[in-house]
Amino acid sequence: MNPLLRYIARRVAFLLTTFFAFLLIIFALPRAIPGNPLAQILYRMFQQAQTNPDLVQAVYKQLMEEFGIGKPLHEQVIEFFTRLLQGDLGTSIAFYPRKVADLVFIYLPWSLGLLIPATLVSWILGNLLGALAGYKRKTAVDNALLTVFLTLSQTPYYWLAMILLYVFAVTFRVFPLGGAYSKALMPSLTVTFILDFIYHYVLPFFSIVLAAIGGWAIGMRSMVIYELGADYVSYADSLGLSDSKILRYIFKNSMLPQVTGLALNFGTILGGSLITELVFSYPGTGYLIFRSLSMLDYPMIQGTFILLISTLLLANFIVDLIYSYIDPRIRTGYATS
Amino acid sequence: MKGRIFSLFLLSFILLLNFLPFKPIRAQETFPRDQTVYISSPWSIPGWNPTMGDTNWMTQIQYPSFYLYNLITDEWIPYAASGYKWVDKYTLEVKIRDEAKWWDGKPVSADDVKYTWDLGNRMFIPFITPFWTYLEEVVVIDSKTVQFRTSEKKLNYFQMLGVLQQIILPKHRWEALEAKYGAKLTTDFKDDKPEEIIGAGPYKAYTVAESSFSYIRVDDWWGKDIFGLPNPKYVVIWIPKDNVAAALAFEQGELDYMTHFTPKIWEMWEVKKLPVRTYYAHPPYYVGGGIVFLWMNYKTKGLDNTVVRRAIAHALNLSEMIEKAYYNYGLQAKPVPILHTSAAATYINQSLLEKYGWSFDVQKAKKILDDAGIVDKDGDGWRELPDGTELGPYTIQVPYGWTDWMMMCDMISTNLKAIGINVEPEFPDFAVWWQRLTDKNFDMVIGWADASPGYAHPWNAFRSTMDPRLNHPSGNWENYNNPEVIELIDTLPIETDPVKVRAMYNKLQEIWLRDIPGIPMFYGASWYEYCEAHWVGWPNEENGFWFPQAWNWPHCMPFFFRVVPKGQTPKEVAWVTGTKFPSSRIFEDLAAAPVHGLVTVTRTVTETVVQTVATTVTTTQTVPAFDVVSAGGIGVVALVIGVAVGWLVASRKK
Repeated sequence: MNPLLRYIARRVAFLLTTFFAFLLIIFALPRAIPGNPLAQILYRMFQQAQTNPDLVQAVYKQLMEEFGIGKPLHEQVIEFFTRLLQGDLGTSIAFYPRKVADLVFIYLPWSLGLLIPATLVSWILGNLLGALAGYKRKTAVDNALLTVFLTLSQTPYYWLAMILLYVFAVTFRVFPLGGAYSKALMPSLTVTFILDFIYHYVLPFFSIVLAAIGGWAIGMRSMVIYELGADYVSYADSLGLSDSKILRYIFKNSMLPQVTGLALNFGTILGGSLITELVFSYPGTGYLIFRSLSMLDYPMIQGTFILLISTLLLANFIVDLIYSYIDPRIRTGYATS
Repeated sequence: MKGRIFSLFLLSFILLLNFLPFKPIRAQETFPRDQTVYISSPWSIPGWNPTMGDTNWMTQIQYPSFYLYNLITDEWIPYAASGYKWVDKYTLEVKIRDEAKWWDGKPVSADDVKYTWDLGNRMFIPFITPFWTYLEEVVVIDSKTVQFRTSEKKLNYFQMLGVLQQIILPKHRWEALEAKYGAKLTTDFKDDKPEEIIGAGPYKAYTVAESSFSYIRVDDWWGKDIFGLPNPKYVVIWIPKDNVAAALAFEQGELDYMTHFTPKIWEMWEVKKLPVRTYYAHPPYYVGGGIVFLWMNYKTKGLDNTVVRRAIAHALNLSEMIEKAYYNYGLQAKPVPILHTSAAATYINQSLLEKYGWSFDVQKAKKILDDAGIVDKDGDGWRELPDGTELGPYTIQVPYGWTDWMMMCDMISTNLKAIGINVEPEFPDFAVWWQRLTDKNFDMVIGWADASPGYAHPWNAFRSTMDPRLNHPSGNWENYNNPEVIELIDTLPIETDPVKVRAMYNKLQEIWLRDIPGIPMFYGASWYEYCEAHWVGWPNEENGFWFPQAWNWPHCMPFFFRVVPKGQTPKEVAWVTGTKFPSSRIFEDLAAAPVHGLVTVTRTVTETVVQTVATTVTTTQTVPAFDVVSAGGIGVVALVIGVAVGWLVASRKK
C-alpha cells in the first residue's frame, strides 16, 4: 500500500476510536456532577408564574419523564447514541424547550464570524510583525516591537475587552455598548444593517486581535531568528541574493509551526470566546457553553462538547495531512518505515 | 501560487457567506424610537407557543383572557368577558363579549374556551392542567356562554377564580396543530413563525432574532372601540447577557422598562440624575411580590425544637440584613406569613402577634434558651439541648451567585453564633442546592413559598408552608408535619362565611406562632424599573396605575395604553379606572348563589389524567438517585480504550 495512504488510514482509525471514547466521557461526565438539572427550569417557572404547588408538582413530574432523568443509565446511553446518529443533540434544559442543535446553529455563525477573521488577522499581522522583528533583531525596531508583543501577549484578553468597552463605549461613547447590531434593526442584507453590524463588530474584534497578536509575533520572531542561523541562509547570502528574497525563504520555513498553531486555534473556535461575548453582549457559542455548564444542561453540554471535540480532532487530522503533504520528509519517513 | 492563494481565500469567503447568521427575511426593518418601547427580560427565547412550560415573554398578550387581574390590589377588569355569574355554588358561568374576535375575523367563542380547557385535560399545559384537580367539566351553553363546573369533592374557590385569568386559544388553529403534533404539541412545537399565529390581543408577534424579539400593534383588533389602541406601535424585548449589561443599556436610555436587579438603584436618579425610577422613589423602591423565609429543617436534631426556633427568630437582625444585603429593596415581614401590604392584611391578628410574635432582641433570645436549660455545658461556646445534643454545627445554604442572599447567610450565621448556635454558611451550585432541598438534606436555607398577594392570600401562604402533604419543590420545604392544619387548609377555599374564615385564619396564625414552621424575613422585590427618556406615564406610586407585577401577562397590558412618547401627557385610561372591581364582589356574589346544582359527571374523565392530577399534591416526590459509580465506570472504560489504542499505535510505529 502507498505509504501516504497507510498513514492516512492509521490516522482515520485513531481519530474514530478517540472520538468514540470522548463521546462516552462526554456522556458520563455531566451526569457525575451532583445536583438536579431541572432545577433551573422549575425556578424560572416559579418566577414567571405564581408558585402554585399543584402546577409545580405536575411540571416536575412531566419534565423528569421528558428528559429521562430517572431512566436507567444503559437506556440513557442507548438513547444518546441513537439520537446522535440521527443528528438530534437533544432538548436544552437551560433554554427549554429549544433543541440543542437549533441553538448551536443559531449562535455558531456569530462566533465564526467574529473569531475566524479576528484569528486570521491577528495571525497574519502577528507573523508579519514577528518576522520583521526577527529579521531586524537587536535593533531599535526589534526592541520596540518585542516590548509591545510581550505586553500584549501577557495582557488578559478579558481585561483588555473591559478596558476597550469602558473607554470607547461607556466614557467616550464612540462605539456601542454591546450586541451584534442595534436593537432597532433586524438582520438583513442591506447596507444599513451591514454598516451597523461592522460598527458593533469593531470593539470585540479588536479586543481579540490585540490580545492574540503578541503571541503569534513572539513565536514567529523566535522561528525567524532560528532560521537565520541555518546554512542555506548563509549560502544564499554569499550568492548575493537580495534580503527580501532571503526573508521569503526564511518565512516559508518558519511558517510550519505557525500553521499548526493556526489550525489548532481554528479547532477551538467553535467554543467561542466566552468573556468577549459576555463583556460585549455578543451572541456566540462561548456563552452557550458557559450557561450550559452553570445550569447543568446535560444535552447542551453534550451537544456543544461533541462539536468542539469533533472540530478539534478534525483540525488535528487536517494538520497532520497538510504536514505530510507540505513536508516531504514526513512522506519519506513513512516510505522507509 | 499567488493566484491559488487568492482563489482559496475567495472560495473560503464564499463558503463563509453560507454561514451568515441572517437571511434576507424582509426588507430593512427599523423600529422608530418614538414608536417603540424597549423592554429587557431575563429569560430566553423558547418560542411563542403558550402551551409550553416556558414561552417568550409577553406571549400571552396575543390571546384574550376573560379578565385582567391585578394581584397586588386584588382587582379585576373585564377583558374578553362581558360578565360572570355564579349559577350555583359549583358553577361559574362566563359570558364572552359579542365583539371579541380573532385576528382572522372569526369570533372568540365558547367552543374556543372549551377546546382550550379540554386540551389542558388531554395533555399537560401549565396554565390549564393543574386546574383540572378542581374542575369537573367545561360546558358550552351557547356560542358566547360557557360554564365551569366543579363538584363537592373538587371544590376550591381560589382555584376556580383562576379560570377567569387564563388565556383562550383559537380552536380552529389549535385543533389542526394538535392533529399534526399530537402529544408533542406542548414540547416540540415552537410557534416561532409570527405570520402563522392567530390571536386576538392588541399586539402580535413580529420578528425574532437570537437575542431579541418584537411585537407589533394590531391596529384593527376587536377591542379598539372598547379599549382603544395602545400607544407604542412596536414592543421589542431584548435579552441581555446579565444584569450588568441590562443596567448599562438602561442608563443610556436604550431600555424603557427593565426587569433586572441593580445594586443601589436610587443612585441612578439621585446621583446620576437620570430620568429613571422604580415604582417607589424611596425604600422599598419595589413592590413586594411574595415572602422570603428562613426555613429550618424539622429533620435536623435541635432545629426541630420549638424553643430553639423561637430563640432563632429573636436573634435575627432582619432590618440590618434588608438594609445591607438587600439595599432596602423589601419591607421586613411580619412574624406570620401574611403580607401586611396586601388586602389580606386585615386577617393579621395583632393580639396574637403581641402575645407570641417576635422581634430582634438578642437578650431575649438568650433568655429563652437559658430558661429552657439549653446552655453551653461543655464550655465550647455552643449550647446543648438538655439531652446533650449540641446546637450545631449547622449549615445555612443558598445557591452560589445569589449575592444578596449569600450576604444574608453570613449575617444570620453571625447573629446565631452570638447566641451560642453554631451555624456556618455554605453556597453550593444552584442545582446542588435544589437537590439537597428535594432530598431534605439541609439544616437551614433561605427560600420562598407560594405567598404572593391576591384573592388566595393568605391561604396560599399557609398551605404552601404548612401543608404536610406537600414536599419540596411544591411546598413545605421545612418538612413540617402537623395534621392539625389539614382541615383548616382544606376548608378555607370552600368557606364563604367571613366570620368562619377569619376564625380559621386566626387558628392558623396561632399554630404558626406556636410551632414556628418558618421565619418570614422580608418581601421579595418584583423587579421593575422604567426610564422616561423616550416614554412617559409608567405606573408608579404617584399615579397608582394598574400594576400587577412586571411580568404578569396579559394582565400588564394596560401599561401600553397609558405610556406616551416624551413630550405628551399621559391620559387616564377610563376602561381601567372605570371598570375595575375587587375580588370581594365575586365572593359576595358567590355567597348569594344557591347551593344546589351538584354536578353529576356525565362523562368519564380519562383515568390516567385523573390519577395523575389527583396525586400531584399527595405523592411524596422521590428523585431517582443518579448512579455515579456506573457513570464513572463508563468514563474510565473510555479512557482505558483511548490509552490502549494510543499505546498500540505507538508500539507498531516503532
